[in-house]
Amino acid sequence: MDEKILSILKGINPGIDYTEETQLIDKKLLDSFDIVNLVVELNDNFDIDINVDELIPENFNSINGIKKLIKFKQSET
Amino acid sequence: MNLVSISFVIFFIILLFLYFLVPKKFQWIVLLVGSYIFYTYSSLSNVLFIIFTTVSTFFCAKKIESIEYNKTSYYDNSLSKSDNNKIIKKVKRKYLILSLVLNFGILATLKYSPLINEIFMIFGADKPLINFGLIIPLGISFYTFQSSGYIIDVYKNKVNAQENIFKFALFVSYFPQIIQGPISKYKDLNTQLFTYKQFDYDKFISGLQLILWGLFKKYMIADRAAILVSTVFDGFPENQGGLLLGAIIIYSFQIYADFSGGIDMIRGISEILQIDLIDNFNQPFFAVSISDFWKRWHISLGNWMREYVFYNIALSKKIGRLNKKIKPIIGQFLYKQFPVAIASTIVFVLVGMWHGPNIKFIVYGFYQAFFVVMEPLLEPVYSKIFEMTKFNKETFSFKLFRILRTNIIVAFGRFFSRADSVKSALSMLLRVLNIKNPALYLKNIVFGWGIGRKELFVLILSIIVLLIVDLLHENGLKIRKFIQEQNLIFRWFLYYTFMFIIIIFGYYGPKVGSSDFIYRGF
Repeated sequence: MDEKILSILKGINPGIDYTEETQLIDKKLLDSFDIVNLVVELNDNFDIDINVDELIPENFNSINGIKKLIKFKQSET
Repeated sequence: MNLVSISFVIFFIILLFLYFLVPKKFQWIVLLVGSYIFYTYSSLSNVLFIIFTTVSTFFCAKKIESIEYNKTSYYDNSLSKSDNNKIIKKVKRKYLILSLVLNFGILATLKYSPLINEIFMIFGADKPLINFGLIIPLGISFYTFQSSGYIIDVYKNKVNAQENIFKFALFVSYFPQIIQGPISKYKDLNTQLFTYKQFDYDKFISGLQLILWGLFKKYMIADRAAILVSTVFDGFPENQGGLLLGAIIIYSFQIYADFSGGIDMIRGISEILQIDLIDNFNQPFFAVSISDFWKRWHISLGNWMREYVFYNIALSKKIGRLNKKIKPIIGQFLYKQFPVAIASTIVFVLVGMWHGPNIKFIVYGFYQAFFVVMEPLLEPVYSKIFEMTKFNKETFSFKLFRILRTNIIVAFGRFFSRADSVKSALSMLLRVLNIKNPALYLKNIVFGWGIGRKELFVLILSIIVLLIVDLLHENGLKIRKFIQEQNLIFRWFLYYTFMFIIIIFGYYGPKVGSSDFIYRGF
């Protein structure tokens, strides 16, 4: 799963060290435009449906946060 | 029933007494009965439309919830859990779509019936196909949006479906907001409407303050400006560019004062009943960009559109796949912007169409979308220029420039909503930009109006008061709280002065009379 997320993130915005970074949103490395594309890709690749309410910084600040969100969404369906 | 009428005042006083005097469990029933009396008084024949929306939405929402609660009975054991859930979602979606098609179908048919008739008559029909009469049911847009938001929330398991149809009927018809919004969310209004409230003097006074402020905006600015704006626009094409420019600026204030004044009165009435409604405006004249403007103007519609339309389009798999497909052609930067740009454009065109069945409103939508979409696209260019010229963006003068630029774009956009057609809007715009004789241009801005100089003076002075109040709010001052903290004599002196000003200059002002709120027609 990590690698898939990583490749999606690299497609969205290449020049960031996603493996180390834990403040993707707080440091404004990803903006709202990136998040829209990221969510679309995550929904499509992992067959989930992320809600508008879930578009909060803690879900997208790091790969771990994203992974946690995907797992949560998968357990929901 | 006009909000500013003796019949409304009598209605509200009676309602208020009953509301605070009846036993606890009947309090919300007073509101429901009051709301239906208010609605029936306003348009008797159209009450069927609101009842239809209430009943159909209520039962569809209940059905959606019952499917969710009993989903195991729909399970097919030969399928996986995730496939089963997809099937359940599909069944739930059927009822959601049914409800949305019914509600928006009625809204679209009623709003667009003149256009539909016109098209059919072009193709040879000899009489109108759809004839509901001229009156669109009061608040149909507002209650349709509100009910649809509710059922989408139930579908998404964000709220529980209302168990009591009469309670739901109150949520749909709650009388102050049925007139022209704001569009409330179910989770914000639901508990408020049904919890018991005791009379609270501070809230009563605070509500009255808001009503008074709304009256000031309506009578001192909106109704007075309406005469002037009509004179100039109806006198077109003889009117000169300078006059048109002045009129469109005044029109910006008219529409703001009219709409926000009405909302202030509605919120004030609601505050007396101790029900907080969302504020629809946040000092729109201080917006620094068009996207900022739309976060400050008709906020409840913006929120609705963002939550139920914008994200559904921007986050849709179809748009995502298309974007991925065209990425090699459009490149990384446009790939990033594409979903938001498409979703924004659709939202603004829908907001435009919501205003009425006319091409000019669609153009108005595209006009707004253009600036919203261009903003992030041009951002890197601006950044580069600022970097190269070492320009300081954090200055007061630059902020002022951005505010003025935004207001000019907004005002010019209003030509499309105010003029009769796209053609006359464009021709007006060209006239405004055509300054052959600057002296005459300026003279027209100041003296060419349809109202006397004294009237114009009162209007401009009132606009200045409005701007000062908005400026104070913009800087975080809570004016009503500030006034309430002052001593009794000063407070009442202020209230009476304000009231007399409105009565003398507003209500009894020459040629000025009480007119309906513009957005009441939506």
